[in-house]
Amino acid sequence: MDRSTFTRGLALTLFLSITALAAGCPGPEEVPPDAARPDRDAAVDAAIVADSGPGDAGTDAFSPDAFTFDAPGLDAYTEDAPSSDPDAFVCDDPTGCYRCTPTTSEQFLDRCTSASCEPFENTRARLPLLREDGTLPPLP
Amino acid sequence: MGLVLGAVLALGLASPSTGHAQVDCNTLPRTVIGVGGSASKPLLARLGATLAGLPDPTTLIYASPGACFGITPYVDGTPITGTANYWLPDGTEQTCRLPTAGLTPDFGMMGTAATLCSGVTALPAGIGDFAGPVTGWSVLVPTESSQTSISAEALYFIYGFGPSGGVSPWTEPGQIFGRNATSAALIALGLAIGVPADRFVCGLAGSGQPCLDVRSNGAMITALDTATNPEAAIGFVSSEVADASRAAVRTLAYQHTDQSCGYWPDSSATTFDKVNIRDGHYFLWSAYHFYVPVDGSGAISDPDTRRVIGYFTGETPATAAVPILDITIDNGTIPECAMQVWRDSDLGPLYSYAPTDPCTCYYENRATGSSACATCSDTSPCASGTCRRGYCEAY
Repeated sequence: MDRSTFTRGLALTLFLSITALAAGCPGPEEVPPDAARPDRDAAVDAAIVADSGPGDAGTDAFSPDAFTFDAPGLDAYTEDAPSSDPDAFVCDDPTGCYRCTPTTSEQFLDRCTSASCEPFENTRARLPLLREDGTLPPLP
Repeated sequence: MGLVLGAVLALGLASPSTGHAQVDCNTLPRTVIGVGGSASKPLLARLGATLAGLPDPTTLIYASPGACFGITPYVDGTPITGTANYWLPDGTEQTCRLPTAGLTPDFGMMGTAATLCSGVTALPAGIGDFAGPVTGWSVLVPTESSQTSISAEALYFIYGFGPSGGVSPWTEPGQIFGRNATSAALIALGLAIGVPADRFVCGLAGSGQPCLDVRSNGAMITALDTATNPEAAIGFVSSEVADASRAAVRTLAYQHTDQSCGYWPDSSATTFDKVNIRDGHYFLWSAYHFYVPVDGSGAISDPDTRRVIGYFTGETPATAAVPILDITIDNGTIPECAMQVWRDSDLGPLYSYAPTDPCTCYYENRATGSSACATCSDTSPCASGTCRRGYCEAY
């Protein structure tokens, strides 16, 4: 890694840290300050998707594309990303939620939210018939 | 299975009597007769009571033996008979007798698509499929249970294997409650968890199956409320029915495959905002389907049926006397205009959705009693967004 790449990587790290703090993506059971306004994201999202018409995901401030092309000094960033998928690096919050505009079912399901949630541990301790690799056996 | 369903209908098992003095259904004024699942019965009850109170009343009659019965009469021509329910203007449920010779219903109503019913590969010619509002599907435990969440994988073992699936505490025979393959709730849950409808280990009492088929949404609530071991008891119903029974049952947070946390239909276990259905965090939901005879242009043939179903599809405008949006929201059902996600097939992939006439703000105020949205009027326009129904919607 040369100095230029290191500097860009550091800049990216700082930018992402600030962005993550600004995004304020809650952990699975955290209740953020705006929990009393559960409609906020929905209303904003509705406005966003309206720009693209029904059925379109639209884009927002955390769009990977916006990040890639609008953030200064990051145009050459490629090799330092911890994931081969730059979208995943930008959009996957450390707490596990997805903080960009969702386009797939998985992203909708794991999108950052102020709603409460309760995890269920899919472990062999809880599901003893799970296979060792974590997959489901066929129905009897 | 269609022939079997038809035989059951012809045998007059469409709906049990509630013990009231029964009249002949066809003596009631201006009838519109439907058949289908019990999940939608509370919604139809609210509309039926409203229509019965109009100056020119319409009698909405509904038999609810199971969702797939909503398509069977159109598939095999078997008429429905037995008894059905209708509602007085004050909401009181009444029972009437269907003709002994049977009749073809004016509409069928289901929480899932007809083609998910066994033996139904395509809609019969002359039958239209009209989308209604959205219902959630809730996995329930008695309020005495300590359990708070469940996963798709856990449900796969519970309903695909029964107690031998080993998912503690749901390992006791006789405490796992389910439905049969004619139930939209079962079909929807099965799609989500990967257990085909005919592979649920559920059967009627005495069948030897470890999961008891309780036969209706209402009976599921009773079964859970009276379970002999509440900690081991589990079942599922429509979210509207669950909401109306929160004193007896508790909805579990549901964690879908690959989801990192389980969510309730609402933003928490105690709210009624359905935000997680509306924004895509809660996977278990589907839009109601109305199956109705149509003419050559695809329009509903019978004028009264067209008017009644039109309240749900938007073809019949809401009025002060028939405030269909309020009726829908008050029932815990979600109008299309409050959704931010949609799917093109039952329990299928989600995508962002922008309704043409959004009602998110109105919905939330009606459902929860408050909204963070600004209010507006002709003399007090919105600073941003669009004024709709007294609230500044996002667009």
